[in-house]
Amino acid sequence: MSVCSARLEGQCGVVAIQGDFTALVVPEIGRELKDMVAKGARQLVFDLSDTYMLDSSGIGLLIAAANTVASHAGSVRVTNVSAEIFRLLQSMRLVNRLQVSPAE
Amino acid sequence: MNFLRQTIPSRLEEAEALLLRVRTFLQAAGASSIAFPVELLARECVVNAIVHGNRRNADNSVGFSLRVGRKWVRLEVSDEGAGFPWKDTIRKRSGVRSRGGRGLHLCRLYADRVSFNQQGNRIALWIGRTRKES
Amino acid sequence: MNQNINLDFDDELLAEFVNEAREHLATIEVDLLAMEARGAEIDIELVNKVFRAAHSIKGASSFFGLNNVKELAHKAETVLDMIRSRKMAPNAEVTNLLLGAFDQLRVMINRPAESVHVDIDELVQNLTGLASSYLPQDRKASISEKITLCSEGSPIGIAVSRFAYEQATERNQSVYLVEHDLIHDVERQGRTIAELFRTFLDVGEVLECEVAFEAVGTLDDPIINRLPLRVALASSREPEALEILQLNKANKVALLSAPEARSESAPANDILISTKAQSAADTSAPLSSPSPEDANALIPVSQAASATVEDSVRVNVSTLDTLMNLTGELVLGKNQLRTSIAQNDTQALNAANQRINQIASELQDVVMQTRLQAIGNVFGKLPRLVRDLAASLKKEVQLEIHGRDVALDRTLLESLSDPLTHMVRNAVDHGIESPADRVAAGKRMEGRLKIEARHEAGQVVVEIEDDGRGIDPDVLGKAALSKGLLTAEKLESMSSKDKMALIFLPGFSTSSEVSEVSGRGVGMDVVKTNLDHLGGKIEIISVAGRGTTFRIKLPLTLAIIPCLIVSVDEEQFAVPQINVEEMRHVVPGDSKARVEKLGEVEVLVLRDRLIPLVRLEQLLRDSAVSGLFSSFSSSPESPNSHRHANERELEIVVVTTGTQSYGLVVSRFQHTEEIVVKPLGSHLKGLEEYAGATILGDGSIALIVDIAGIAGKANIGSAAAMPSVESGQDDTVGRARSEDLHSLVLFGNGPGTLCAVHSDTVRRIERVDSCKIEMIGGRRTMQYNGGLLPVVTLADTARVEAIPEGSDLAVIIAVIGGREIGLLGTMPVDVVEAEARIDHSTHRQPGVAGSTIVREKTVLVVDLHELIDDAWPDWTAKDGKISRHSPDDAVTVLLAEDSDFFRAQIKRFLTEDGYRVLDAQDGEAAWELLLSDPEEVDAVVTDVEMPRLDGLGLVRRIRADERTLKLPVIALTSLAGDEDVARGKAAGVNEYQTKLDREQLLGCLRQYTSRAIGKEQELSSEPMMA
Repeated sequence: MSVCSARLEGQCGVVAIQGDFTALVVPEIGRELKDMVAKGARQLVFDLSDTYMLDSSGIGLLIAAANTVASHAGSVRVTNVSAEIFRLLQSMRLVNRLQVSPAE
Repeated sequence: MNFLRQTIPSRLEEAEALLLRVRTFLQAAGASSIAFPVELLARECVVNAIVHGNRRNADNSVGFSLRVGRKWVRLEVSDEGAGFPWKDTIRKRSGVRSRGGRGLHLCRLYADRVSFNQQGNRIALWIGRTRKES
Repeated sequence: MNQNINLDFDDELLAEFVNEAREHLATIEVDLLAMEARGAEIDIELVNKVFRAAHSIKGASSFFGLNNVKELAHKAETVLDMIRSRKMAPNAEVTNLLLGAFDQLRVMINRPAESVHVDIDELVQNLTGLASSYLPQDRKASISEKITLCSEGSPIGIAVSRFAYEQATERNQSVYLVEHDLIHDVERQGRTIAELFRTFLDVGEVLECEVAFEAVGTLDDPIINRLPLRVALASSREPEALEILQLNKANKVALLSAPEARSESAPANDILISTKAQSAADTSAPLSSPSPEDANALIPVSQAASATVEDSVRVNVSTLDTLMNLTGELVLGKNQLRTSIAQNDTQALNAANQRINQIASELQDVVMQTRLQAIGNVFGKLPRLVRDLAASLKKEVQLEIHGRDVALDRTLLESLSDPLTHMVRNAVDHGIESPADRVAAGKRMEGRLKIEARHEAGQVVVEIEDDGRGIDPDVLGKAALSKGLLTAEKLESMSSKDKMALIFLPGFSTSSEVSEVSGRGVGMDVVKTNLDHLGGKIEIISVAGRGTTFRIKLPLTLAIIPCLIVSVDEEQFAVPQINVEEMRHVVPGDSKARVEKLGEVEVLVLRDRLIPLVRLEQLLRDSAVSGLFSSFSSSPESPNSHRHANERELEIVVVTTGTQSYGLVVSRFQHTEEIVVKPLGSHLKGLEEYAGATILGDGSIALIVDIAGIAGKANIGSAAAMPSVESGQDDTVGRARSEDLHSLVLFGNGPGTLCAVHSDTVRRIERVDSCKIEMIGGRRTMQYNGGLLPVVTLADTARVEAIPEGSDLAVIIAVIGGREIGLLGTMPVDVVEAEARIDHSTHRQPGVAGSTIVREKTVLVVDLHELIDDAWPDWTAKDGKISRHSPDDAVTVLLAEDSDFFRAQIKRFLTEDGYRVLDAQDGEAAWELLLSDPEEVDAVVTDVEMPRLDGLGLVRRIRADERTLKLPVIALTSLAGDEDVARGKAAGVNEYQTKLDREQLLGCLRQYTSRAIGKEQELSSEPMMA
C-alpha cells in the first residue's frame, strides 16, 4: 500500500502518511488503522512529514481514530505537521486534543 | 492573468486529478504563499459538489474555474444539484451581509469573500493574495 | 494529556474572542459599583448587562479550551443570575467578590495561554458559597450539580448546571440542543465562532457548550467529516423563531425541555449527576465581609492586568470605507498631477493641486478620527479607585464624572492616565477632610469630587475639583522655604498665585508624613512635566477651607498644527497659532500701540496692556545654536536683513502661554500654514526655545518655537518663571478663543478706511512696493513667485476711494476658483478675532458684504468672490478650453449613484467637463427624473449596486420604454467580473466602467454623446420655418 506505511511496536502504532491525507485515500488509511487497533495498538502516532495537504475527511479520520483509542484509554499524536496544517488544526481547536506538533 | 477551467464527472478520482492540476497551476502562477488555502478550499468545494451537490452521481458534472490575478484569486465551483433556498433564510442582523447558505467554516477562515448564485449550486470564493504568514 | 496551547502562530479566532471579552470587561467595574449604589433597588437592565458580559465570555471559552475562564465566568454569572432574579441584593460583600472575580477574569483573558494554570479555587469556592448561602436549604446543592438533558433524536445527552436549568424553568424558557458543524457549516452562513455565539445570545442563553468529538464516531463507523459543536440553549422563543439561526433541518435544533412538559418532579429523561460537590460546611456558612486591606489588595491586580496584550484600535467599517475611497481619490489625483506636469499644463496642475489638498485634509480628518478615543476610557477606573481609597482612609467621597465622551488622541490619553490618577488620589488623600473635620467646619460629611472634561476652542480641558480643605498659598510658601526649595527673599517677592504654583516643584509635599496611599515620591512636579511634554498646561485654583480645582489643558492633536510662519532675518520659524493672540505692525505715532523701555525691559503698550517684548533674533543669537543660523551675522545691521529705516517700526507677534502673554519681535510675518510637527534631533532636544521642526510647503526648514520655553528663557512673567494662577485678565484671553468669533484680517484701503476679509480665505500676506504692481492689458497684476498674480482692489467695484499713491502697500493673497489672486490694501495688516456681528445692509455694495465694528472703528467686510466676479467676470471660466456647449444645448447626463461621496465627485467632474448633470440617489429616483422629461437627457451614467432599484433594473426599464430605449447607458461598478459584465450587457448596458476612472468615463461619455450632439446640430441647422 502506498498511501501510508504502518508500523506497530507493542502498543504503539506509527502511521506515516505518504502524500496527501485527503478524501480519496482516507478509506484505505482507515482500514490500516482499524487493523492496527485490532492488533493491540493503543497509542497512535501519525507522522505527516510527507504530507502537504490535509482536508476535512482527513481531519474526520484523525478524530475518529482518537475516539476509538480513547475508549481503550489510549491516545493519538500527530507529528511533523507543516505550518499550514498546524494552522488549520489550530483553527479547528484540535491541537490539544490530537496533540499536534509541528515539524522541527 | 492565469486561468484554469475544467469540467469533471462526479467521481473522487477525477477530483483528485483535477486538484493535482490545481496544485501545479498555483505553483506555476507564482502563488505559493496562498497555494495551500486555495487548494484546500478547492478541494472542499469540489468534494462537496460531488458528494452533496450531485450526490455522487457520476453522470452529473462539476464545473471548476480558477483565476489567479494580481491581487485576488477567484475560485468557482458549480454542480448540477438543485441547490437550496439560501435566499429564504431570514437575515437576522442588519449588519451581516447575506452570503448565502452553503458556506463552509473553512471558507470563513481562509477566503475573503464568498458568493452564491440564485440557485445555490454555484459557489465563488475570492482569496486575497497577501497573507500575514508564509 | 499535556496542555500545550501553542500560540506561536497567528490565532485570529482567539484574538477575536479576546477582544470582544475585553470590551465586555471594560465597563464592568463601573456597572458593578452602580449596582452596589442602588442596593436593594435592583436595576434589572443594569444587572442584565453585567450578566450578559459574564455570559458571553463563558459561552465561547469552552470552545477555546479556556476552562478556567469558563468556570469563573460561570460562577460570576450564577451570582448575577441570582441578583437579577431578586434572590440576592448587591451589597458590599457581593460587590467585592464580583469585582475580584472580574479582575481575575481580566488577567486570564489577557493571557489566555496561561489561564489554564491559574489557581481559581478560592474564588470559585467563595462565589459558590455566596450563591448557595442565599438559596433555601433544598436548593443549595443545585449550584454544584449537573443534570443531563437528552432529546429524542440524539443518543448523547448534554450536561448542564442544575441551578441554571432551574433558573431557566423559572423564567418559563424552553431548552434546546443546537448543533453546529465546525467543519462543514452547510446550513449556516459561514460565521465565525464569535458571531455564532452572538446569535445565540440574541435569542436566549447558553447553558452549556461542548465540542462533541464523540459524535464523529470511531474507526468502526463510516468516515464522517463533521465535528459538531453542541449547545444547550435556553430561550423563550418558539422553535420556529429559531429559524433566525438559519437552521432548516429539524434535527439540528432539538427541544430538550419545554415549560408545559415540566412538572414538579424531574423530567423523564433526566439523569442526575453530581460533580465534585462542595462540603456541607462550605455551602452553608456565609462569608464575612472582607476587610479594607483586602480591598487594597485587589487594586494591584487590576493595575497589573492592563499592560500585557497587543495594542489595537477598533475602527468603524464605514471609516475604513471612507479611507479606501480617499486612497482611490489620491491615486487619481496623483495621476492627474503627473499628467499635468508632463504636459506642462498649469491649469490642470492647479486643479490637481486643489484636489490633492482637499483629499489631504479629508484624509487627515479621518485618520485623526481613528486616533481619537473617549476620555471615558481613562475615567473608567476612577470610581473604583475613589471608592476603595476612601474606604481605606475612612472618608466619604462622592464622585461625579462629566464629559466621558470628550475625545482625545490616543497617545494623549495614555499619558494623561497617570497624572489624572495621581491628582485624584491627592484630592482624596490631602484634599478632602475626614468626616469629623468636615462636620466641624460646617460642611457636609460627604466630600464631593468632580471630574469634568470638555472642549474649549481647540483644546481639551480636564478639571478635578474637590470641596476639601483647599490650598493655602502661605502654607505652601513656608513649606517650600523649610525644604530649602527657595530663599526667603524670593518668597517675599512672590504673589499668592506664584506661591500656589510652588506645588509643582520637585520634592514637594504638604503632609508632614506622606501616606502610603498617595504614592510616595510621586509629586505634582511629575504631573506637570508629563503635561508639558504633551504640550499641555496645568493651573490651580483654590480657596483655603473651601476646595481646590486643578485645571488641565491639552491640545487636541499632537502632530499637525496650524502655525504662523515668521522670519527673523532670512530664517523662518513657526509659531503655533494656538499661542498667537495678535499680529501687530508697530509704527511710530501709533497711539494704540507703541514700544517703551521700562528700565532694562522693552514693552509694548497695546491699548491698555503692558506686554513685555522679546526680540527673537536677540534671543536666538544668544542661544546655543546660533551657529546654525548662518544669516545671523555678528553685526546688528546686516545688509541682508529686511530692516526698516526706522528702528521703531516693528513686526510683533503677541503670543500667550495660556497664562502669560508677551510680544515676539520678528522681521516679517510670512503666512499661515498647517505644519507637521517633527521632533527635534536628540542633540537639540534640550533646547527649551524650540518645540520641534517642520518642512514648509516650499521645502525649506522651519523651527517651531516653544512659546512657553521662550518665556522661560527670557524670564518673562514672575521671577521664578512659573505658571500663574488664572486671573481676570485671562478671562478675556479665554473668551477670545471661543468659536463664536470671526477671525478677520484687517487692512486699510488708504487712510481712514478699514477693511477686513475672513482669515480662512487668506493664504498669505505680502508687503509690496508700488512699483511691483503693473497694469497689463488694463488688468492690474504683480510679479509673484515667478509668475503673474492678478490683483484687485476694493475701489475696482465699490464706491470707495482709490488707494493713494505712495501708500505702504500690502497684498492679501487668496485662492478663489482654484487660482491665486491678490487683494490690494494698505498697512497696517492685523489679525483679530472680533465678536461683533456683520451688518449686511448699511454698507452693502458690490464687493462689500457688510460692515462690522472692531475696536470701535467701522470696518468694511470684503466679499472677495463678489469682487472678483465683478472685476474679472471670466475668472471662473476655463481659459484654454473651448466650452463645447453653450448653456442652451448643453448635453445632459443623468447620474444615478447612491454613495454621496462618489455622486458628488462624478457630478463635479462631469460639470467641469461641460455637462449638465441631473443626479439621483438610486435607480427609482433616477427613473422618475428621467420620466419627467425624457427628451432632455442625453446619456445615463449609473452605479450598479443601489437600493430600491439597482443599475440593471434601471437599464432594463430604460430599454423597455419607447421614449428612452435609445439612451446610451454607462454602468459604473467596483467589480466587473465577466459574469457581471455579461449580465449587464444582456440587460442593455452599453459600457461598463470601473469606479472611478475619470479619464475613461469622460472619454467614453464623449464618444456616446458626440453622436447626440451631432444629431442636435443637424436639427438646428435645418432651415427655420417662417
